[in-house]
Amino acid sequence: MNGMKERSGPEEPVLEVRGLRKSFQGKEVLAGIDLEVRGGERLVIMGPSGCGKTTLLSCLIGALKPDAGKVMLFGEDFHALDRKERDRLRLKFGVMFQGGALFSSLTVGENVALPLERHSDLPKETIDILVKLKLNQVGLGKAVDLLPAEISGGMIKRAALARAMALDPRILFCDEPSAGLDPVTVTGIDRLLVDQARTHGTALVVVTHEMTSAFRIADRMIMLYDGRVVAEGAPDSIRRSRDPIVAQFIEGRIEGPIGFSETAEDFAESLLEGTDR
Amino acid sequence: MKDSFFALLEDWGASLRFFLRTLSTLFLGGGRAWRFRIPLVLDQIRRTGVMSVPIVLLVAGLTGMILVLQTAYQLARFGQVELVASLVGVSVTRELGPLMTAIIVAGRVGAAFTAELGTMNVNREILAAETMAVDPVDFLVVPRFLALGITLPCLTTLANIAAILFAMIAGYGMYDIPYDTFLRVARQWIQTKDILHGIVKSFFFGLLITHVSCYTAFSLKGGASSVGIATMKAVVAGIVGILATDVIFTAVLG
Ligand SMILES: Nc1ncnc2c1ncn2[C@@H]1O[C@H](COP(=O)(O)OP(=O)(O)O)[C@@H](O)[C@H]1O
Ligand SMILES: [Mg+2]
Repeated sequence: MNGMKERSGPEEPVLEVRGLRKSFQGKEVLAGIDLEVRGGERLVIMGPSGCGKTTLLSCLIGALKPDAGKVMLFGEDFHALDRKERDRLRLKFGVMFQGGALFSSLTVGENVALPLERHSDLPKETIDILVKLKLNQVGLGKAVDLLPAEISGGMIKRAALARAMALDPRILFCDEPSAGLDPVTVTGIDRLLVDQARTHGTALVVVTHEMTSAFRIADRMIMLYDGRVVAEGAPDSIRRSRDPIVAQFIEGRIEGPIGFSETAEDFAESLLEGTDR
Repeated sequence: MKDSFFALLEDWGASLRFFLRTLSTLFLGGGRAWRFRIPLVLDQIRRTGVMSVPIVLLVAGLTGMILVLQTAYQLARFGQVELVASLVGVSVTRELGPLMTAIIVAGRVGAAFTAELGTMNVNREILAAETMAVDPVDFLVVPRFLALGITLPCLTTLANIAAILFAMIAGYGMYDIPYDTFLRVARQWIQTKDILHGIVKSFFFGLLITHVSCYTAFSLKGGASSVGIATMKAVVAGIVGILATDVIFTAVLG
């Protein structure tokens, strides 16, 4: 912990996670996670599918209650707070969900306007202008009046970003922002994320398994594997890492500690399941 | 067996907590909350109430006619065919009107609530509202709760009128009961108490349908296929709940 303090800049941590654990039906998905994010920092959490990235993010934003450990947001223990106090903190962070999670019955503009209407006393005209501004920043100025069902996947992600940034949060969580999009759109979204972080000083916590995207966004990276942080560092040091898990993941090789398919034991187990042995 | 019993108890507990949360959200939200609620309630009234009028009128009208066809010929044997008006009037206002309307609305509106909110749940829209500090119960459940609490009694009143009107037409067409005789007998037998009884009951049916359908949607886990199953469950549970509530009402209030 001391080491982290020395290395980082003058900013206070906006997010601090200590000893986070979470199991589902006896299977440990997060086995003690520690991490810290400071203001303006761009942290990428990477790891193979099923390693617990979404579970970790869900614990961070309060969608899942961890079995043990602490999530300190802006210096407060998020999971120990009651609903009202949590709502107060929620105004200071934004979340961009994997599928966008735009309200399907509201237009793109209404989606972005919702947090502004609910949490500010601004008159409607001002909110309309703010919404246009936010949507222009993500290149969706023309889509204000369209419904989520009427726009493409990339546009949905951008609208979700505009909505998450509506209240100018100090930290933005993104789950797989580039999943399922074409490379050009991915580059565009990565650039938007970095721009938002630079211009607003927003800290980013981005979960992804796309390496090009990860290196474009990050100024610090964490590799998650088997419920633990197995590597952490600046993008350059991660790129040069000798760690077999990290190296295999970055190069996308099949051979290595990260199993591509089930192990022989698992396979035998599943075949024999339910039979008398 | 034992496990499923406890699972059921747990589910009832969670359902009750959800209901209490809805009520406390409804009553504790200040003036600011109502500014956002009123447009949402009006929208739901339009979608749930106004759009249900044709089907409710149709079913109620047909039921009124069936009642006449079923009973009038027996009464005619005693030379008291005009008593069919009292029979139709009382059974429709007290029982059949509220019950039929609630069952139609459970199938039509309750199913739509579960399907829509269940899809929102699967797409994490409910979670998204929560992370924006927009209480999803306030945003999604309370407006529907209020809307059905208002529209179901209105729809029931329309159903009562339609059933009696079509019964009158059938009575005149088949048994030559003059309209004024029909109305006179009906008015003689229907008491204000009966009408109020039915209306109050339908208000509770409205709350029940909304609660069951919204709770089912909020508590569902899994993907798109679970939305279909949840919708089916919500409709069945809603209809059973309506009938059970009706039994309690009839037993307690006579
Ligand atoms: N609600 C849940 N119930 C049971 N198991 C779960 C649940 N959510 C996630 N898991 C399991 O936890 C593991 C990690 O899932 P997830 O966090 O979604 O991984 P990732 O986002 O890294 O692909 C998976 O093995 C998944 O099956
Ligand atoms: Mg995931």
